[in-house]
Amino acid sequence: MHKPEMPMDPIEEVESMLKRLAPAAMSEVASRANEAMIDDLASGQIADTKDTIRRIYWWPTGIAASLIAGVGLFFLDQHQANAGAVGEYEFLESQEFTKPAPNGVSVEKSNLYKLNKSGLVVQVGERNLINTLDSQF
Amino acid sequence: MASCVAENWKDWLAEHGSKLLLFARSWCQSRQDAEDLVQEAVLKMWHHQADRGHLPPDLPLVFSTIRFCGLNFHRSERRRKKREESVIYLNDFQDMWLDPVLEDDEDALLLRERIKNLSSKLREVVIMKFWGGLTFQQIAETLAISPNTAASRYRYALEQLAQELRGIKEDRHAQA
Repeated sequence: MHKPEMPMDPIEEVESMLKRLAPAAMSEVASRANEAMIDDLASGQIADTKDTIRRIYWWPTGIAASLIAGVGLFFLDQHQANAGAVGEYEFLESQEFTKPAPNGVSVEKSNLYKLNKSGLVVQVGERNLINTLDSQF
Repeated sequence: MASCVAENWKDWLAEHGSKLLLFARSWCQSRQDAEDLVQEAVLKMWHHQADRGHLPPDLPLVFSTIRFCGLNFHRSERRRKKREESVIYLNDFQDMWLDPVLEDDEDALLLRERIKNLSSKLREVVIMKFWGGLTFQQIAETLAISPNTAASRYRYALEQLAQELRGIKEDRHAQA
């Protein structure tokens, strides 16, 4: 006689569903920054744990400063940025790039958002400065 | 020699980085902050492992370090927000903690949102147990609780998720 299939235990059902989820990977910027840091640590170029990696919040300040031709970016003043961001916005794209800095490497990432109420485009970014201190040896 | 050590750490980070990011994510408003936490923890671990042949660290210790860094981050964020009232955190709707293994897996996508809504005490146990691969003993040592408490939190979290899933399925059935 054919036995009916037992319903799955709810906990087992959740666990089998959890197996269908995987942790999201690190961003390319973070992966590169970590690899650069490991290389510098291994070669002894980073000697100090404090202030080795400095994070700067890059926020447009001052009255609309410039229009970048072809891209349509505006640097808004703080009040305009605050007012626009409280309402709805549309995420446009992410930009990220790495460039040499006087004391190490600068890793920049910014997101472009369009504020639906005003139609203005806001660029919000951050800049990570990885300082490579002079080795004493 | 240095290059060999560096490669070991990079391989270790490539294998475990996403799990560490997932754990760090629950402490932060944004993925970028979580990536900063992981980087800070890796740096601390590097110096910790200096007396141990610079071998990559054990996962339980790294989770513990991320948790410690996360607590400090919370404290400094509260102070910074008071100083900089004009800072606005814009939610990036593409910022997901977990990705479905199969495309268009609706149930998994629904579960993903429910995991984020678990309390931090339950969520951190689920993350460490399920994706971190830690035993309840290791989780207990990381969180300074008993293994029984760790197991209880894990089971309670899964029961909560199961209940929410049941509710979703019933709603779906009622609409059909």
